[in-house]
Amino acid sequence: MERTAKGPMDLPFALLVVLLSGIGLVMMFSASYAVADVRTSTPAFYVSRQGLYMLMGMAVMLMVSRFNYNYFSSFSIPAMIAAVVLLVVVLFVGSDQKEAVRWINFGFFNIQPSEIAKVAVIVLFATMIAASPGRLEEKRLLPALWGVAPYMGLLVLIAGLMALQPHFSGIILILAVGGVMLFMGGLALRWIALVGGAGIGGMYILITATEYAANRIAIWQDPWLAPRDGGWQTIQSLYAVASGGWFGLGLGQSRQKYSYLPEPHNDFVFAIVCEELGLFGALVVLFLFMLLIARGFWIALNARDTFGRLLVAGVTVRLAIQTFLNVAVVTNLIPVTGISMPFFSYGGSSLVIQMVEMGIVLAVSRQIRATSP
Amino acid sequence: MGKGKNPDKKFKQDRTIAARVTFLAVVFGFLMFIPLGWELYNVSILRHEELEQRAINQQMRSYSITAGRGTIYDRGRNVLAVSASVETVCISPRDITEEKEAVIADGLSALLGVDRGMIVERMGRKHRANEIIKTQVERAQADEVRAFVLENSLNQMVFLEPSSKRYYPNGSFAANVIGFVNADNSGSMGLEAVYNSLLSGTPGQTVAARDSRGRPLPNQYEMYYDPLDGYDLILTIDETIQLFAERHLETAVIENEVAERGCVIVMDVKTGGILAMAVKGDFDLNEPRVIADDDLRRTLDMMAPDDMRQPLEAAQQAQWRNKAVSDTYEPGSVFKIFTAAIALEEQLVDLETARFNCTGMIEVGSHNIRCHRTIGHGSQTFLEALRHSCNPAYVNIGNLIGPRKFYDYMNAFGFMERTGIDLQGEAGSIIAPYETYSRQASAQAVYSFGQTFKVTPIQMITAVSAVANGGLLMRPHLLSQVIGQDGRVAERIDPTPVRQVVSAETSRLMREFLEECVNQGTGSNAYVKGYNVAGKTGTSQKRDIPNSDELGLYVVSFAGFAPSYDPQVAILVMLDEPGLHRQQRMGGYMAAPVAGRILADVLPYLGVLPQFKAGEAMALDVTVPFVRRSAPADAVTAAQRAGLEARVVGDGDTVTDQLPAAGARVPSGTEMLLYTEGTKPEESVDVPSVVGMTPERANAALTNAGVFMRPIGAQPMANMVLTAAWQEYAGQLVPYGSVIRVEFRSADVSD
Repeated sequence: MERTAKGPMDLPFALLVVLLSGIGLVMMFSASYAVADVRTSTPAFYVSRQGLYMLMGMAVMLMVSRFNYNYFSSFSIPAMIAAVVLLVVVLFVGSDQKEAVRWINFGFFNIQPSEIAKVAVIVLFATMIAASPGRLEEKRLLPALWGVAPYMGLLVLIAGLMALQPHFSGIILILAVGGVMLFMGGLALRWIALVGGAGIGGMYILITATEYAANRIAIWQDPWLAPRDGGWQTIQSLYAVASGGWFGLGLGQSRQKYSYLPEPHNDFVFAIVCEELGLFGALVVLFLFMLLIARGFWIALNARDTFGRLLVAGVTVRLAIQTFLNVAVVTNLIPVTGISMPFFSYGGSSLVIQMVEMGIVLAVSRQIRATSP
Repeated sequence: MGKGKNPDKKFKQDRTIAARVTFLAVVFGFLMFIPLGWELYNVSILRHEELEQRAINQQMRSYSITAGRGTIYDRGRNVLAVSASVETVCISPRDITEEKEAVIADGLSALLGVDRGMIVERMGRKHRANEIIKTQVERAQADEVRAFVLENSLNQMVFLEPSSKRYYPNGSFAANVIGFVNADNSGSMGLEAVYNSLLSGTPGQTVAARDSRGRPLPNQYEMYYDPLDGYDLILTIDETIQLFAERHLETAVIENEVAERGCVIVMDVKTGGILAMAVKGDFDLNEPRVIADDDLRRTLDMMAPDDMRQPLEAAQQAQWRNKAVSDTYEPGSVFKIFTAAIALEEQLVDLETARFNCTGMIEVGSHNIRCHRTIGHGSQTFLEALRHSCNPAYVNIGNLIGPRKFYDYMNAFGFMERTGIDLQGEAGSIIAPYETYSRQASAQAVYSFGQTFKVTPIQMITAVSAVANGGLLMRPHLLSQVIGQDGRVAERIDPTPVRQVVSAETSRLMREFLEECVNQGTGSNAYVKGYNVAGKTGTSQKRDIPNSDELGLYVVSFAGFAPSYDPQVAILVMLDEPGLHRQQRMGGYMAAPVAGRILADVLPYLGVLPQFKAGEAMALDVTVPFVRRSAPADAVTAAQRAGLEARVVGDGDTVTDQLPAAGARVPSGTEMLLYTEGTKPEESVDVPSVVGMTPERANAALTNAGVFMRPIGAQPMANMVLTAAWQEYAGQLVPYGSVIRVEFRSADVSD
């Protein structure tokens, strides 16, 4: 096997990544302008850092894309071990952010171990599924349990460690990605139905049994029940989206970013996109995401082998889920969960990891069977 | 890698995975965007209006900009009330971090002298962005707060807002008239309240986009509406006249131990404009809530806070009450002015032939009405009856008039209605309804000399002005001009005639008669040399208070005007409940001298030229000329030309010193001492007390001691006993040859 891939990378996918990164950077700048000014009196504080990470991420993406992706499977176990170790370490040396320890400080940059865990789960699950065909497709109970046991064990371990931080939005994402990986890997539909049913039932019990959850749901239904405490973010996000109307207030003209919307540069950049660029701008951005996701699936379907297909599909699914959850929170389609928007939200390590994943997709694209359509 | 390990399974797995990825591609690559797109459309388009409005409500804040409150001037444009910029210290509890709470509470309570508990309590309102800690903070204190904020990095947590504060440069001056403003700068009392809408102007407003902590957003639109400053007011009050009135009233209130305050009104008789309206005790307009009466304040201060609240409020209300318009009193004999005027107007008496006999008592129905002169006044002319203030004579005059006419004239003189003066809380009179009044013969009898009903001081002076000015009742007023901020007169208040009450001829006669009351009657203590004061005194029991007779509760007053030949000003002095142990609790003895002193100051100030009658020239005050360094003979001539006599002391060629000093005012005929050898004696003189002495004895006593006497007050007339009621420097050391003022009063002033 060659260490490097020879074919050309998929240009549409790469261009969409660059385009979304560019738009994301501009919108993150606009959204962070006020909060950066207040916190650091340097309006460009966040954008200058994000720009650096983006350049770094692009370089990493190109580098990763040069690899023969089959080598990634051999990295998968060390990567997973590293992720688990870091998840343990972060509990002891992590730096606080919003009452949770999620970061390890490496001097000039911070690493979020949960981000590494996400990509490790995708690569490792893809490796494991590709290596043992038929294992997940078991229809009998005991062999099926035996089949899913290692996956489940890993997910429970990672989720458990993340719960200690705590980092529930990360858990949701990792369970969703892991679950979809198992679905793609051919897990029999009956088990999916069983687990899905059990999950929904469990959720129902959780919501009805605990006051906390019931309260969250009530505030989700009507954020004005608690306009200061639980509903503030949602209300402010809705104000931003609604203020945009069809074509927005104009780039840079958001009013909600001035200390109304908390963390406008982070989980709520998309609300500022809506406010400044309107429904039109928001739909253009979502359309670009749709193209990227669709192109990702196209690459997955045309991948040279099962491993490549799972790899690309896993990365694409994780991108799609994250996009969906973020936009759904911004529009109050679902209750608030702290999930960032790919390419748009501020955050160095998640951006770099994102770019690593894009690099993986591009690496697979170099070896696809068909020529580009 | 397990490639080819099990081609069958592998093939099957490939198919499954491809199918499932395809399924996911449809879900994530397309379907998931449908709810997102729909919800975006729903929020940004369908709910656009509703949510945008809420967003704007939250982002836009309107700030009111205080309009400058107009200045109040007296008629000479002296400032009586003016607003200056101050600041309000506020906190934003929602921005205050926990570790700064103690710093802020300690710092602000120390700097501003406010209760620390109050600050802590307001700081607890965590959702609020603007809690007021102290209003009306002046510049120096505000600067201290700014420094404190800077020092402790309390930006956003503690801030100052501009505001304005009302200043009353003269303190208690005309307090009951000017009134004061509340903490919110709206008029609370007096003219500040009456003309609040003119003074206050219209506040401006800015509407601007702000962030959640109230900081302005860059490049966001603002709307600015200019505030419209209030109008300035020019009053009819004359600062100088008001000052004279207050000074002399205050002296009288203290001197006579007046328990229920006193008031003085000076009115322009021709326009009804109030030149002065003084009430004592009063209060400091800059601290209206502080009880001005020292004893009362100390008593209140010693009470427990809960017990204190009600009496404190009552005491505040009492000191704020404008006695001149809000209280009523029994006018007593002053009312004979109107009884006499009605009789003249209706031509019920022949001034030549009519005689009114007084035996010291008159029977009315089952009552006996006594005259203050128990042996009676005998047979009197109309004028004599007025001068004597003879009650039995006035019962007869009242009978001549008859109840219907008398009642109608009381109405015509304005005693049945409020005058409509531009002040709050004007009281109405307390007069029996006609049915009750006409049924009793005794009612008419006592009404004739002003007893058993009550009127307000403002009603009284307004009616007296009508008698003086030719019979025209004017509406009293305090506002003269309204001045816009451009300096132009926005409104000029014209004198408002109400009705002609009596004829010019009746007015002329009354002017003459009332001057006689001062010159030779019960009003003699209001006499001012050269100024033809006219007026009438009055004393009445406070009959509406139970046992007032045994308790000896009286109200004494004087109402008059000057000069009698062309009246300029009317004056009313009223003292409510003079001290119990005071002798001579009569209007003639207590109120008339106050009017005399005020008029003695006011008339020269108004530029009224004195006119002296034959007898008066003798007792004129003259100014001592400067004669030093001239030959003794020339000096004597100069002294004589000035109306003085002179005695040369020593044998020198030139006058080396003189007594009294040049420029001193002494009665004409006083003997000057001209020293030709050396200077006047340098020793000090112990001034003897001459109170109670006649003018002759007082003069002798003072001259013996080596000082000159300058008599003021009532003038000696035939059959009138004058005694010194007041003097300067009694028992004190003064330089040899000083001029000592001694006020004489007639004790024979029973009214």
